[in-house]
Order: sequence, then C-alpha cells, then structure tokens
Amino acid sequence: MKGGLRKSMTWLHTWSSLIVIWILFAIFLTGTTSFFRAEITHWMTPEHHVSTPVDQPLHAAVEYLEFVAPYGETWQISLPDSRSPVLGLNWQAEGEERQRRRGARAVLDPSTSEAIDEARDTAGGNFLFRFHYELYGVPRGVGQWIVGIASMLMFIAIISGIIMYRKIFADFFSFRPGKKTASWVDAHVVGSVLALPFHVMITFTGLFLLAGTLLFWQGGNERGGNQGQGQQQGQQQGQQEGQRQGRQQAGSEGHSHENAQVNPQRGVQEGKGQNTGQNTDQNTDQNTDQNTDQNRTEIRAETRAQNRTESRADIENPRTGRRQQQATPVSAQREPVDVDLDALFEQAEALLNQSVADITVTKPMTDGVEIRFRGSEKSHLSHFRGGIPEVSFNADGDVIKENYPSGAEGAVATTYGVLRSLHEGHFADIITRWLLFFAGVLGTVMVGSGALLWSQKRQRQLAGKRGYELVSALNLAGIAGMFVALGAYFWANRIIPVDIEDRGDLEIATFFSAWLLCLFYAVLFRNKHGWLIQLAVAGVLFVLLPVLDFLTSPVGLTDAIAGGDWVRLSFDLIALLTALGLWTAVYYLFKKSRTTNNKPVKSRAPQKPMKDATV
Amino acid sequence: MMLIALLLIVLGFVHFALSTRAFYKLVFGRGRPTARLRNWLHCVGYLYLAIALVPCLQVWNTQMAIVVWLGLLHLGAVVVTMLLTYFPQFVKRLWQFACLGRLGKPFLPS
Amino acid sequence: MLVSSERWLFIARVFAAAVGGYALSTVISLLLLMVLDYEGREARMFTGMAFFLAYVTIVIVAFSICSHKKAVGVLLLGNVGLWGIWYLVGGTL
Repeated sequence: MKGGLRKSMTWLHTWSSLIVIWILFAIFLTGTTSFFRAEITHWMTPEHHVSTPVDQPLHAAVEYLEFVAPYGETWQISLPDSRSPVLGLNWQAEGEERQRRRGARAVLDPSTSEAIDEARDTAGGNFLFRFHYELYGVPRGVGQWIVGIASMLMFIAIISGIIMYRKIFADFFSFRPGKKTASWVDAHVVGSVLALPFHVMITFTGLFLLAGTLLFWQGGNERGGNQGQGQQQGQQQGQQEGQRQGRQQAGSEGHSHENAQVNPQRGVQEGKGQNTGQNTDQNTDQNTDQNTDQNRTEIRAETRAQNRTESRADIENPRTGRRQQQATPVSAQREPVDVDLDALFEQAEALLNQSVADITVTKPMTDGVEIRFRGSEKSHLSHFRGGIPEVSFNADGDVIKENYPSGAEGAVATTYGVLRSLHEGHFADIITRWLLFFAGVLGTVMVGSGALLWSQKRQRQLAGKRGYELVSALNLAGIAGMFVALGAYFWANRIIPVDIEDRGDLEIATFFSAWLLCLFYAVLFRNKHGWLIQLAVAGVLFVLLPVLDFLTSPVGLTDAIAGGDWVRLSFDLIALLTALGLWTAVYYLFKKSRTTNNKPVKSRAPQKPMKDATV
Repeated sequence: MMLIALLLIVLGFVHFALSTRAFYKLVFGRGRPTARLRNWLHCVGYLYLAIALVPCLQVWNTQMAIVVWLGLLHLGAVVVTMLLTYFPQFVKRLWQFACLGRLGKPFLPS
Repeated sequence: MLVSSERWLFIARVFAAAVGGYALSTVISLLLLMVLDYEGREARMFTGMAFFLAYVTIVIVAFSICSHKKAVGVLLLGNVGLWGIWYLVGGTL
C-alpha cells in the first residue's frame, strides 16, 4: 500500500470491490431488471395477455361496475397504460364495510369488457425488485445490511477508481476486442466511465435509501423515544413502499388508511408475491403519502367517515332491485344519476396536463357522486412521494378539489427528492426507462468485467492457489450462474402448473436451486468448460423464452403483434438479445478452447483458470 | 426529437474522439493532436452536447429533459465507442462530412 | 515477527477505516446538522446524504495516508476530538 496515492487507490479499488463483487453483480442485474418490474410481471401473468388496448376503456369499466356494484360505496378504476394493458377495478358494493386487506376486485380486458380469470400466483418482477435491496430468505434487516455494505464498498470502489484511473479522457472511447487483458480493461472502462454519472448516482442513492437501516443511530436522534421510532418505521416503510412503482392498478385510497397499521406484514407478504401485488403497491404508495402528510390523511378520513354515514342512511331507504342478478338489493326509486364521464375525463386530462391513470368514484350513480382523477406522472422530479396531481368533480361537473403538487421545498429536500426519483425511476416515461435500463446494463457490464479482470490479471501467478480458485468458481457461479438462474425463474413461471399450492414460492425456489446448482458445478468442474456449459445453458434458456411464451400463453405471438402488446413483445425481444449476447460469449469461448486444444499454450479465455496447465 | 438529440450527442463525441491519439491517426494518417487542437475540439464537442439539450427541452419539462439528456449522453458515448471499434471508417466519414472535417478545415488550428 | 506486526497494523487500519470511519462520519453529519439546523424530515434526509459522502471521503483518505500507524492515529484522534466536541456542545445520542 505504500508507494503513492495511485497505488493505494488501486489496492483499495481492487479489494473493496472484489469481496462483494458477486453480490453486486446480482444486485445490479436484478436492479436493472426492476426498472421494468411491472412489465416483467405482465409477462409472467399470461392470463393478462388476452387484453388489448382500446380507445375508450372507461366505458367497459363503468359498464362492468354498474353491473357488479350499482350504487356502490366506491369504484376504483385504474386505466391501462404503457406498462400494463389491463383494466383494474376495485369496488365496494353498496353498504359494504371497507375490507381490511382487499375488497372485491377484477381485472378486465378493455376490448371485450370481460373479466379475466384470476391470474396465476407469481411474484413476477417484484421478486427481482425485492431481491435487489434486501436479498431473499434472510431477515429483512440482515438483507438490507448486506446490500448496504456491498453498496458502500461499491461507492468506495467507484471513487477510488476515479482517482486511480487518471487518463479518463486519453482512451475514452477505445475498445480493443480480442486482446486478452486489454479487452477486459476496456470493457470495464467502457462500462464504468461512460456511465459514470449514473453509477455514482445509483450507488449513492441506493445507500441513502437504505439509510434507515444503516444509520441505526438516526432513530433516537432529536426525537424522544416512541415518536422517533414511529417516525423511523414510517420512514423505512416509506422507502420500501415508495420504491414500488408497479402499475398503479385499482387505486384504493379507501383501503389505505386502515392499511397503515397492517402495513408491515403486508410488506413481507408481498415479498412472497401475490400476483395481485400490484394492487398492494398502490395502497402502500398512498400509505406513504399519508405517513408523511398527516393533515391530508385526517381530512380524507373525515370525508370518508361522512360518506359512510350518509350511505348508511341511504340503505334504509325503501328500494327494489334494479338488477336482480345482484346480491345487494338495489333501489329502483333512485334513478341512476348520469354523469358524462367522457367529458369529465377530457376536462381532467386538460387540467392535469397529462394522462389520467386512475379514477376513483365515490358514491357512484347518486347525485352525491365525487369523481377523482389521478394523473399518471409526477409533476416534479423533486417530489419523491406522492406528488401526483389529482382533480375531483361533483355530479354537475364542477371541480371541487384540486391538488397540483409543487416541487419539494428547500435545497435538501429537493436534492433528496430528485436523486431518489432518479433511482426509483418513478417519473420515467418509456424512453427514460429504457435509458435507465441501458445505463443499468452498463453497470452490470462494469461489475462483471471487473470480476473477470481480477482473475484474468492474476491467472499466471496465482492459478491453482486456493484464493484464486475460489474467486474463479464464484465468478462462474455469480455471473454465468446468475443468468442461468434468471432464465430458470422465467421458465418456472410458465412450466409449473397453475393450480399448484404456493406456486409463487416454487418459482423463487427454482431460481435459487438453479443458482445453487451452478455454484456446485462451478466448485467441482469449473475447469472443464465450466463457462462454456453454463453460458450455453443460459443461452438456451433465454433463446427459447419467446418460444415458451408463444406456446404457453393463451395468446400466440402473432396475435400479440396484431394486438400491439408491446410490453410482452419487448420482454421477448430483450430475452433474445440476452441470448444473443450469451451465445456470442459461448462462440468465442468455444473458438478459444479449440485453439488451446491444438497448442498447449495457456488459454486465452480469461475466464478459465488453467489448473490443468499448471498442476 | 430524441433521435436528433442523440445524433447531436454522437457528433459531439466524435469531436472528443478525434482528440484521442488512435482516432487522430486514423483520420490524418500520422501525428498526434496538438494541445491547441485538442482544446478546440473539446470546446466544439461540448457545444454539440449542450445543443443536444435543446431538442430534449422541447419534449420534456426541464427536470426530465436533463435526465433524458444525461441518459442520452451515456448511450451516445457507447454508440461512438462501438462505432469506433467496429466501423472506424464510418466515423471518419462522419467526421469529414458532418463535423468540422471538410467544412471547418479553415477554422481548425493546426 | 516484523511481518506479522505489519500484518496486524494493516488489519488495524482496515478496521479503523471501517468502524472508525463510520463513527467519524456519524459525528460529522451530526455536527453539520447542528450547525445547519435542519429539522424533522429534512434533517433525516440531510444526515442520510451527508453521512455517506463523509464516509466515503474518510475511507479514501484513510487509505491514501502512507503509513498504517499514521492512518490509524488520524482516525483515532479525529474520532476522539469530534466526539469530544459533540458532547461538549451538549449533543446526545
């Protein structure tokens, strides 16, 4: 370590990153996929694939709700958007108490107005998402500590890497393929330097999102006892829930207030993954609002209580059935009050200046109706919780409530909010999401090439030594094995029978057993074409994913193209691209293994420790 | 708009690329960029990158535009790197016809 | 013996950087908070950001000092000094 700044920084860079590099790789890979969490969930619930977008999904929703819950307490409609093409509905029938966890709900295909069968039990993208910040199978706190420490080391590695690598501009754009170590150095540099702002941002924000766990002293600070703790809990929850940015399906404000107390369990539950997790997302998202915005909560609660008493009074009115199929008796004396939803919808979009994502109708079909339109995007990046504009109308079409949140106030809150939004990609439209995804891929390349670079550089001196062999085994399992596990996870989603118990858990179990298998394989046989075989397996898994999708989804691929289900098609496309990358790697490895067989020189494949050659 | 921004960014990065030795050699055959030329190229490059922010601003609001712009910078840098690796001649053409290569020759300090 | 003492000093340095760095950045962010006077949620955000920036700087500095002893000493002194100030000005944890 003695001998100049640069040398000590190189040391720090190498070792601080090496000890956690496989975890980092897993975090980066799953985290990158999490930018498309809702989309992955959509792919993994093929039942939803039948849905095709239409111009006016609102009619289908209202028709259905009038049928199942006429004069209900509330209707919640979440419209299809670019991330998930289904129409989500939640409702409470007339006189029904609010459910503690979840009320009646349905998922509709907007083009046919028919309910879609209940989707399979899967954790979907949520599993990958949760894995990237609290791992799996360990207590939440422990997982967060591990991830936190890994990110801290990563942060140190990035900063020391910048100091160590002075010639950033000199070979900014150089990439020299086929030159052993130089190529790996270049890949590492391209992956890290070109996306440096992203890496610094994502690591730093990742750290302070975990601050609630890592800075355990913070809870007791400045606030005495209980209150402080409560606050911290709220904060932590906020972090976790706020990060869920699944599609805002079936906005259920009604539930959220009560759920505030039930919340902790829910978080865990969701980890196991209910397919309907998307719904929960919305609840919890709003919880977070309420945790922070106490005043607003109270107001809402009050109005809510009022509404309820009013509606109780209504129930006592004499009435006859409007629709006999319904279990709830429905008043005939009450004529349904018609509200021109289309006009209001347009007006709302104009007022919000963006597309509407959900609609909440309180006391529908009466003249006390209140219709709340909620936008789909944050209006300001600095708003890290809530921050989504809404507008409400009454039966006459007058605006009765408006909420156009402005940006956060104060330098600290603004910085925090902006950085946090960036990490979570809450704000992101489709283009930004892809850009973030791309930067995430670069990060994955950086971590992966860094790991390989270490063993490549030390191949000659250290091959056969225990530490070196350990690193190469972990490299193999951590990088190639990770792809195999990911592929296996997607396969399990389609192959495990739909009606099996604890299906979601089984999928996750598949993920980990595939990974474990790769690890065993890596420890035992890493020298005998370990990389070749694992990458080939992963390549096969990924290249066949679209085929599997085609075979096991109720909607074939051609229909998907016709129906414009781009969410699903992009998934298949990315699977193919991943497969292409994997196969390219396999091809090069194969070529190299052929050449090394012919002449007994050390393998040029950086990945393969040449134990045979030295022993 | 996004494509225009990306194109501008790529062109901007081509200027930066020319200030590296390898690409300079490819374009001019030999020698290396002088310090003066390098500074000049960097200035023009930064100018291109800054102009690329304009089309972003026309589509997104200010905050978002900056985010998109940064994301495009990452993308553009990788595009230029890959082009330089696999299609260096194309980048040379790009330099000659779309950048200061031919048109801007008189303005280039030697 | 010499080699092993070198090794122990090295371990001490890593330990000092990790744990001492944590403690030091804690007190730095607390002191900064006191000076800048943020409250409630803002305070929480501020410490969250300041802490990690401080931590990473300290670790980098801790490893860029050329001798083990000096690095450990600097961290130790820094910690004692700043925590002393923190308790002197009446902070509690």
